[in-house]
Amino acid sequence: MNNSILRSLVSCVVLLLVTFSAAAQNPGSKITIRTTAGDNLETVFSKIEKATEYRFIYNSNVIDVKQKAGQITASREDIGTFLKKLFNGKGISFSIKGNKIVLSAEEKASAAVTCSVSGIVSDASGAPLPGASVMIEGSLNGTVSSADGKYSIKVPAGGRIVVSMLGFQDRVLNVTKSGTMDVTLDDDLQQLDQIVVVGYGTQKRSSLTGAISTVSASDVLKAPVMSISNIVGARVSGIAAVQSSGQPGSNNATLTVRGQSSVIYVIDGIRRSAADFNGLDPNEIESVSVLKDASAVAVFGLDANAAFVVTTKKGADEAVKITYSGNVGISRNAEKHDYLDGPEYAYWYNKALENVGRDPVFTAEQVQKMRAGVDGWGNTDWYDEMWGTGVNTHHNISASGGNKVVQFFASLGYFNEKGNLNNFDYNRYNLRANINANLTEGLSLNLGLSVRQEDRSTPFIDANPKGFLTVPTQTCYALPFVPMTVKDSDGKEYPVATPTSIQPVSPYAMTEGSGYSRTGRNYQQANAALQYDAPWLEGLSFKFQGAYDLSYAMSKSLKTPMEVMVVTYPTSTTEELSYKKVNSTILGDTPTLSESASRSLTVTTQSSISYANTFGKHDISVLALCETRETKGNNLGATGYGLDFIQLDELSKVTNLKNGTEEAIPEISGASSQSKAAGFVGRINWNYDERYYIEASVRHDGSYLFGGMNKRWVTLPGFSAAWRISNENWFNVSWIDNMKIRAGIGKTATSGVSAFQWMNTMGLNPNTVVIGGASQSGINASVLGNPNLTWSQCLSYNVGVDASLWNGRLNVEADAFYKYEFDKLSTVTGAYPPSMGGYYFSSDNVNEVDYRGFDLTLNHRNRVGQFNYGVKFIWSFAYARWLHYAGDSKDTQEWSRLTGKQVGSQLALIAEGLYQSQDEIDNSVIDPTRPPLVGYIRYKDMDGDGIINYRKDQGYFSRSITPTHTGSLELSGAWKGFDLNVLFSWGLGNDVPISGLYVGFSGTSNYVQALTEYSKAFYQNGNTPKYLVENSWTPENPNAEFPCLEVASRGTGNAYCSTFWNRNGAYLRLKTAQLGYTLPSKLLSRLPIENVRFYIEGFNLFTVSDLTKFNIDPEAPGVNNGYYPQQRTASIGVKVTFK
Amino acid sequence: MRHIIKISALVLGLATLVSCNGWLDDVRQTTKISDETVWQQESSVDSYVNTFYTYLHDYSPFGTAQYQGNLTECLTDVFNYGSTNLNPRMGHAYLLLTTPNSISADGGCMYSIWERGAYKQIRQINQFLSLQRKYSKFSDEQNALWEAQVRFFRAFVYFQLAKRHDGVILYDDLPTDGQKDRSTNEETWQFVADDLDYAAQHLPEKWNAANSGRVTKGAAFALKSRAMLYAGRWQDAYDAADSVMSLNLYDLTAKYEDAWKGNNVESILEFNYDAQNGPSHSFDKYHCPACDGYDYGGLGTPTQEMVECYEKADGTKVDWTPWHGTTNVTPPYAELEPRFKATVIYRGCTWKGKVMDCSLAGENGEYVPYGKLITTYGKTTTGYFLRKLMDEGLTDVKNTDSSQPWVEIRFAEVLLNKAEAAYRLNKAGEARELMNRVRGRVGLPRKSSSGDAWFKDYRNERKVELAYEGHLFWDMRRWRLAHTEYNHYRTHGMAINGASNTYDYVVCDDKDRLFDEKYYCLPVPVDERKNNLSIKQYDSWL
Repeated sequence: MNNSILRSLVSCVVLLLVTFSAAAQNPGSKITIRTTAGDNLETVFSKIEKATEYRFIYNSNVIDVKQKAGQITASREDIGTFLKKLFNGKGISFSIKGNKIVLSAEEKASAAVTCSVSGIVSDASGAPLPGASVMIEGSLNGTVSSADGKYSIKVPAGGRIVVSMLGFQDRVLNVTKSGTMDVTLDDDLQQLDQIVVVGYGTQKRSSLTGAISTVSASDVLKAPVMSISNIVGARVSGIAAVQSSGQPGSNNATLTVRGQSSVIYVIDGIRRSAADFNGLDPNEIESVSVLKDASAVAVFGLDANAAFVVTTKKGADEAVKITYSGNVGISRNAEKHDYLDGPEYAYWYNKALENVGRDPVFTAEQVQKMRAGVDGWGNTDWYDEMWGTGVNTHHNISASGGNKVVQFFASLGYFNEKGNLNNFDYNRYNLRANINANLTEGLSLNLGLSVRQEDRSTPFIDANPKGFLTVPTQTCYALPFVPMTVKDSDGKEYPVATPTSIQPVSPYAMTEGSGYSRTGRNYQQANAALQYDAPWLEGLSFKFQGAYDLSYAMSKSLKTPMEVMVVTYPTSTTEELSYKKVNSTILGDTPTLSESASRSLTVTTQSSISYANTFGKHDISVLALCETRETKGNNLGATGYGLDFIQLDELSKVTNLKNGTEEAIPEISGASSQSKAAGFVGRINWNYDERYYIEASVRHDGSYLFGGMNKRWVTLPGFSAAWRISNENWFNVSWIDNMKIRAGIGKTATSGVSAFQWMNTMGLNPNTVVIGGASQSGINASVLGNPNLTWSQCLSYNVGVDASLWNGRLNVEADAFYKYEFDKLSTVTGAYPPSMGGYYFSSDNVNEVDYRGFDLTLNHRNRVGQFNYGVKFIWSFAYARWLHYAGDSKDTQEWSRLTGKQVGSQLALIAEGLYQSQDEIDNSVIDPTRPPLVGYIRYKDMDGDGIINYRKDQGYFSRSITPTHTGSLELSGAWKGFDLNVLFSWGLGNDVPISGLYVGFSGTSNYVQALTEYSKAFYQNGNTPKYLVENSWTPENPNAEFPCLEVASRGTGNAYCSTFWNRNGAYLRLKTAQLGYTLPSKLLSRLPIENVRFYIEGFNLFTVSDLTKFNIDPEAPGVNNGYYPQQRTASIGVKVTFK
Repeated sequence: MRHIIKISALVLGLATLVSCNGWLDDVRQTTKISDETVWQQESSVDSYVNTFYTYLHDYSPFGTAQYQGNLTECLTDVFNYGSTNLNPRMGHAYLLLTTPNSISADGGCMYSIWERGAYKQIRQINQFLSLQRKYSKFSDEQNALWEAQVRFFRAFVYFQLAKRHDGVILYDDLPTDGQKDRSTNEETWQFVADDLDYAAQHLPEKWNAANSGRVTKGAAFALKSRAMLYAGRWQDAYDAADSVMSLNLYDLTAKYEDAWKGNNVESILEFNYDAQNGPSHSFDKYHCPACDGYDYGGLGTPTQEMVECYEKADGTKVDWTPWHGTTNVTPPYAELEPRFKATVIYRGCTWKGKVMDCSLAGENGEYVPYGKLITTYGKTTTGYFLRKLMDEGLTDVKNTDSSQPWVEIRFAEVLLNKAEAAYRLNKAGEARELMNRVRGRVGLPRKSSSGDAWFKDYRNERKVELAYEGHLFWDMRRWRLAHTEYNHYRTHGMAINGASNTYDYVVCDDKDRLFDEKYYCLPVPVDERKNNLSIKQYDSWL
């Protein structure tokens, strides 16, 4: 987004806010209510709370809310008038502050007042809490804190005051003398009255029946920004979060919930993408609910095995508050690769030559020259030179406030990440405005607007782990005995290139001169919800919500030729290293300019009718909803060749000449796509006396992905129930505050297939033949339509228990689950003979998988004197198993079948150490196609046929690379103004191959290669990590960890995927740590500032794992030849709230 | 106000609560067309047929189907890939030659095509025919013209399978459950013959200009003459070759160096390229010397064995004994017959305007001993580079793809096919005449030998005339001579020192090359047996 657009958007929002603030001066709303004889005060309160924005604040020890309310009818009456009528003769007085109605007992005989106490009530971060109730214990006297959190109260000496507020733990203070007593309240996630956002609605925490965890706004801010997925992943049980890259703008974590990756992201009630989720500014987030089991998530339909439901902040009926937060941090690679330096390379390379009986190349004299850096020699640590220090900055300013009629929240965020590899940058602007307006009686409008601009930029040659010769790969290959740059005879300096066996590589040239690749994405998302609460039938609401999500992306890339100096690999007689100036092969000889633009529009509608009411002890709510979602996208692009001036990099300036002479017509491309889905939801919730809870839901969902009427629609029921034992009359365990047992069952469905697989389609290939003297296109049969294709379905069962023990000191949330997924969509190539020539459905509903596991959260919080602390332990376990894998061949051996094995099991030969002698080889079963040498890996002949044949002897012997057990340990503490939060994350139960896992194994491939530069010394003639050479096999080092060194291998039998390369993937990592200090409010009293907090924080601070010996990050991607590593970050920040 | 809101809320809710199925149907495919659409217009069916022509490229030396991009000549004594890296056009071939027992019933074979696309092509062809029966509303004549082309390619692919195996699974329609046994060798060849007969019957002798490049009657007969030699059906081979000749459309070109270049009177079936728009190929990149301006070529080079097959221009044999050691005498390259000069780049010849060195540290063509470098990019390990199939007019090899056409069948082959068939049918005189016609083009004297001696001459003639055109390895297999001639041997080259003009006869292998009788028939691949429980492995592989 360019600056002018940003400016105009900001002014628009400001204008909106001004307009609504003016409207907010309107008088308070009137109330219409009819109480019945059966109603007690509590019921009346909740009716008022439902119908209006008013909230009642009282201490139930002091106010008897169970007393009968009496029959009162009010029609468009002022709230004050109504309350006077209601409390008449009940010994209750009230005061209305904003939307809060604070109740207190009417003063009777006044006690001897001896102490006058005042102070500020604030939360753990130091933010003042308005509306907290401050009561004298054992009496009905009390007050409420003001908008800036201040209170003052008169207390009998030796008395105690109780400070309480919804969503926070109560605090009791002894009063001995007059003076100032500031109070910090700890927020209490487990608070039973906390409102939790669920699918298409909200529920009280106490009435949840499914497996739902939440992350609060304050949790979200306890770690460096980057992306929200990294934060949520580590703080909720049942989630495995893997952050597989540290590249700016791509460093989000992939979230898997209970072993399934088909999760959806719902932001403010509308399904949005993972990119939208990761693109959120953490300061915009009010809460995140994680819906983990089918009984809770089934209502979302399509592709939702779990859901992350995000609610953004809303304004409240209170004075306008402005908050600024900002931080700046630096980052470096979390794991550093240790490669050979020049002299070490010379030593080990000679050693490798010696092993195969060849003369050494490097002489002592040459090594001297490396050290001295003369005659073209040098000693370069490419890794250190390339990977520097990155910088990230984040600023956010937000404002919120409002009155009874209009409330608003607005936030503007800026985030910038400058990578620690040159020219890798990410920029993000977030703008969000949420406006609620009570239009007229019963009718309210909720308007949400979000604009996000994300700009990513990399050199043309980037760091994609699956890319070809990326910058990290080239950094690994670059030879160390040369300088970074050398001068040509013309005196100009050029980057040095290493002549690998693929092509010359020069990482330095790639980041500095390969050109660029830039993508700017702009997201404009608008929600509007119109809700009508029928005054003629209490509890009946109609709601229409629509969302219009538009996104644009503009990409531009320029590949520029670059001259590099390729070093000629030396021989033992080389005195001076010689260099040859060439155009870098990967960049070619012609500047190539590509530009593309794409647009995507998603329109979502939700129309619903809901009804909720209480009949005696029965609470019932019913929802019916219809949802439609349509996405349309189109893109166009062009690529042109040749530029007169690299600086004039515009498509209209391309010369259409390749390599100076050859005519090259610009290539154009364009395409469009469309998708549609529709669903109907019905749900009923019932609870009896806060003891028995039942929720039943059903969703009928349809997708265009499947063909016929009967294949297209799926019905997804969900049912769950809970029993709150602690509310039973007979329940009498003093140390259990609350205990609830839950059970649920539900069905979810995923599509996981590309569109139009149900019809026979043909592919069109331009320029495949020359007929009649000209290029002609060809058509071939592409997809064999499977008309029976339908949803992949998953039945899931969940049981759980929630408990709060010892006055909230220990909270337990435990769940166990079993899921059975059937009709799973899959490609089935492996099950058919090649002679069928691919004449079978490419996708079919054939596989079956089951999942089992548990999630456990133990949360302990306590206070010792002034010191508040908490310990939270999370343990998640998920194990997925193939019950039926259709890709298993008809007559494969047990060990090479996937059926019955873990999902993600890796194919491997079993390695039995290294060959120690020729004699041993002669007496062993070997692979004749790759005859082993001494010091090579010895494999097990699984089928006993006297020959090592990877096709027959390999099996699923290695565990998945994803940990089956994951979890975290969070330690937090607060003392006076200081607060500390430390989060460790851990995982275990996985095998990680040093070489990286080669996914995409093809049954007919003869070259199952597990070798990369991490597992093969001098791979592609490049440099080598130290561990590979230092612990390589030699006759003197027979117990070596790695095979013998070789320069060029003939038999490469070591290349097979085998258990040899596996290492235990278990790890413990200090994921985040944050230390904050909140200035005492006294210091700020003269400033228009309510609160100031400073903090320092870190990310990925240290890791304990077997893998770090090999410089492997435990979250490294499966396949890589070098990638952008995870970052270790340290930052400082400040948050200021203005009055 | 209240009623308006009440009513509109109800209407809004109900309006969306209607069946959405029609709405879902509204989504249209935007990237692909349905199979039925193709049959609506003639031009799109032509495009459908075009796809099958690409098989000619796939199985050519410019494609990758024969043996993962390697020339199959590398499995004989005439061609060497110099790099030891285990990659296509590098150490792959050598590993297979020296450890042929890697061909196994459990592991398959690196040049087996059964599991590498051949059956995919057959299925595509059968799918075309099946859709044609289902959807085509065109005239019988038009349908026959399409079917003839398509069945020609089915024969072409089955020919490729048949020459590797001993009877394969035959599909003349789409497969059903994939549980099918293979047919006999005879049935397989008959299947090929039937398709080619149909093609020959319905294809035109010549196409109009807009369709030039499509298969013709002559191509069908010519392929049949080749296939029937493999089948051992001499009379059929003879008749098919005779049919080609009697079309009176083809002749030998005046110069041998034009014979394989296409677009001339000798070409019977060719595949054309277009470097600008595509399709194109990279053969020149893989095989050019570094002095062509591209640093990664020269991967495979001709051997001394090939060079010694050439007669002198006067038809006499060179005595190469003096060069089977070390000598300062330049080999008699200049005296060899024209086909040598058109096939091999040797020291002293001119290539793209440069006089070639082909020597140690040579500027125009560098020699490097075999095994010294892992990758021998741009260098020769034999002292020669390949000239044939390369485009001398392609000056910017580095940046430009090749568009040298591939001639699958040319008239000289048909003459030689007929000669071989005639020899088998005891028509010695006719055989001699046909071969001498081929020799005559390059001015070589007639051969008057007979019996086994003639056949030996014929073998050499075929080897030289059709050098590097993908015949030798398969000829040696069908003649059942590979296990005697290509077993326990090493190839040779010339290590040339330019400064001292020294020619050193060197071995270019470090292990013996092996070939066992067993490999005349490749095994049924393991993937087939895993999932097709009806198929039987060949007896020799049990």
